Amino acid sequence: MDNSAIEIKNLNVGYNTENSFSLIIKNFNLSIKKGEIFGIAGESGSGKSTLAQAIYRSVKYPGEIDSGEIIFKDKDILKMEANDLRKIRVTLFSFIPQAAMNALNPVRKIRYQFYDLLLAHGILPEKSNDKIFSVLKMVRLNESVLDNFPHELSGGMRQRTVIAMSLLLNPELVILDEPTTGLDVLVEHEILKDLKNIQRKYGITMIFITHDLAILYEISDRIAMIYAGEIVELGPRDDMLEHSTHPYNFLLLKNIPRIGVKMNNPIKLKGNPSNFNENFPGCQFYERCPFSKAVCSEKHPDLKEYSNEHYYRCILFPEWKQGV
Amino acid sequence: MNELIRTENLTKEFETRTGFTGISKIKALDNVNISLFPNEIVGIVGASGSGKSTLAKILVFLYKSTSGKIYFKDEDITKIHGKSLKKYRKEIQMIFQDPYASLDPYHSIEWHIKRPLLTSHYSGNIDDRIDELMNMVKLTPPEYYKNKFPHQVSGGQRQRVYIARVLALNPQILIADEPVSMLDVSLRIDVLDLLSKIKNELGIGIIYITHDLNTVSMVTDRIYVLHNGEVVEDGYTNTILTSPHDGYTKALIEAASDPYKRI
Ligand SMILES: Nc1ncnc2c1ncn2[C@@H]1O[C@H](COP(=O)(O)OP(=O)(O)OP(=O)(O)O)[C@@H](O)[C@H]1O
Ligand SMILES: Nc1ncnc2c1ncn2[C@@H]1O[C@H](COP(=O)(O)OP(=O)(O)OP(=O)(O)O)[C@@H](O)[C@H]1O
Ligand code: SF4
Ligand SMILES: [Mg+2]
Ligand SMILES: [Mg+2]
Repeated sequence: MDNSAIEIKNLNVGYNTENSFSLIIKNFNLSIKKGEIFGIAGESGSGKSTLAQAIYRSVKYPGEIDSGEIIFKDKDILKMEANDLRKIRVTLFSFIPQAAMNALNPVRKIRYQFYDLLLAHGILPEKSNDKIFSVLKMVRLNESVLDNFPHELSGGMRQRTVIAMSLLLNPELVILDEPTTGLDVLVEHEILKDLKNIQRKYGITMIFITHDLAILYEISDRIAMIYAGEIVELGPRDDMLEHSTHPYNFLLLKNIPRIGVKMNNPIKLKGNPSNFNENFPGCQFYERCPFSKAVCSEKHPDLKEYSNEHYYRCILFPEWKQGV
Repeated sequence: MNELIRTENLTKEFETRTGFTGISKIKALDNVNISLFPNEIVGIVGASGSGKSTLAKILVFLYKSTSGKIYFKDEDITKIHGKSLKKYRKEIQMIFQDPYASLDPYHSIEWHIKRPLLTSHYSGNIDDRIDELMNMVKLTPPEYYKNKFPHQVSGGQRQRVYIARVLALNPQILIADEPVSMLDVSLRIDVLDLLSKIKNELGIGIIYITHDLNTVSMVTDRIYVLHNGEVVEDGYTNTILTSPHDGYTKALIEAASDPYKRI
């Protein structure tokens, strides 16, 4: 049996600039399993949203998908006719873009925004009120929100509305880009718990993207760390937490303040974020890495297997870890 | 040692329009009593809308309180104005959440630090003082950063430029309102470490405002937990985080993210 919900193969995505094309997502390969929460982490500018948009084939100019395949239900999304693509969106897989809760139509009541979504899929809204009520219930919103305008709802309620919309037609896969960023801690925590419950109850596959490593580790089954548009470490959540193989994952984990845990001057990343240089021949993390040696600047590291399902992209592993 | 600043039953009501006719009042702060001593970092903690920023804005005289008193070194300053207000404003400086918005994109980093020295008629050697401040906030070597513009450095460095800028005025109190929430994880620690360093080396008092109890546990000595404008719990950070009494404090602790926890 094929256990893969979606498979990304040799994906290259970038942005057209005045006189060139700069590649952001580079030769990206990833297979997401059915029924898992797959977490993608990386700092600002690492390419998370670009990747998410590419998976949903919603990259807009100046962005452009250069090459690759995204296999979903035996078909390559990137080669699908626009019409076929529209049919499977929301019904089979859906996408909540970054800051979607601020992108609701401000002059249209929530009810009609649900109706619009149904109409776009050829479904008569009048017959679907029960469906709408049931997704609202899933995200623990009162039916009364249907008669509100977006600005009459709190940030958390708007985010729940957007999540409800993404679930409206029972998709098998949902891509969530920073679904709780900017929300209050208490609200964020509640929404994360609800998302996990919904995911477990209905067996939905979720791709959960955030820059917030702590919540990613709280919610995910497997995790990929992205740096400069590449996976630098990938594995089951527990393994990634207990046995980091890449300095990036290791250092970020060490640098997250936690209640009741004394920080003894942890080793820090060097340099600045988003200092990516496409033409650099060596490890993209070289400038930031406190463990780097000359060899790291010479050759681009491949993704290697550490243990079952756990991969890393570092020339000096396990050597670097002996010193810490 | 005496308090640098102390509030007594500080209350703030906002009037908001509801519908076409009604006016309703929101009590953003309700009889708040806090104090800050030299050489300590005090946390103001609470969820969104609990009144944290309102408190900060009243302390820096951006808002006027509805009732209650503010004391600066035992002197009642609730109603000061004119020259004494100007003098007080120099003593209390604020750092904001967004390091992008708080700097001027058309001016160099050196300009940002030099400017307050000029306007406050700094009497010593200005170039030496700039170097000293840049070293203090670890923008080193200073020459490397001086001629750069805000967009040429990282968010964490921008935040440090802003901190150097406000330290140039030699304040006795610093208020930092969510200073790291917009920064990537890898940059947060440096800014938080810097707050501790400033406290230790300059002996000033710092008010650290956030909804993130993780960072609070890292930098603060004492905390006040705000809920709907009221202080529901206060005391030593360690004591409160290990044995909270108030239900709301417990909820905040429970919601604090931790990679070693599971949802
Ligand atoms: N419209 C655009 N034109 C040119 N470059 C872009 C555009 N959008 C994004 N980029 C570049 O692509 C890179 C990746 O951006 P992306 O938005 O995917 O990052 P991200 O990881 O989602 O960041 P964040 O955490 O801030 O959301 C960045 O370096 C960014 O500058
Ligand atoms: N200028 C204003 N006019 C009317 N109401 C206001 C104003 N400023 C704040 N409020 C209200 O006062 C309450 C406290 O707001 P405040 O900004 O102090 O909260 P906060 O704790 O800083 O929240 P956050 O974590 O979201 O920054 C809120 O209900 C807010 O809507
Ligand atoms: S290859 Fe070298 S520079 Fe890259 S992560 Fe490993 S040790 Fe660091
Ligand atoms: Mg993004
Ligand atoms: Mg605030």
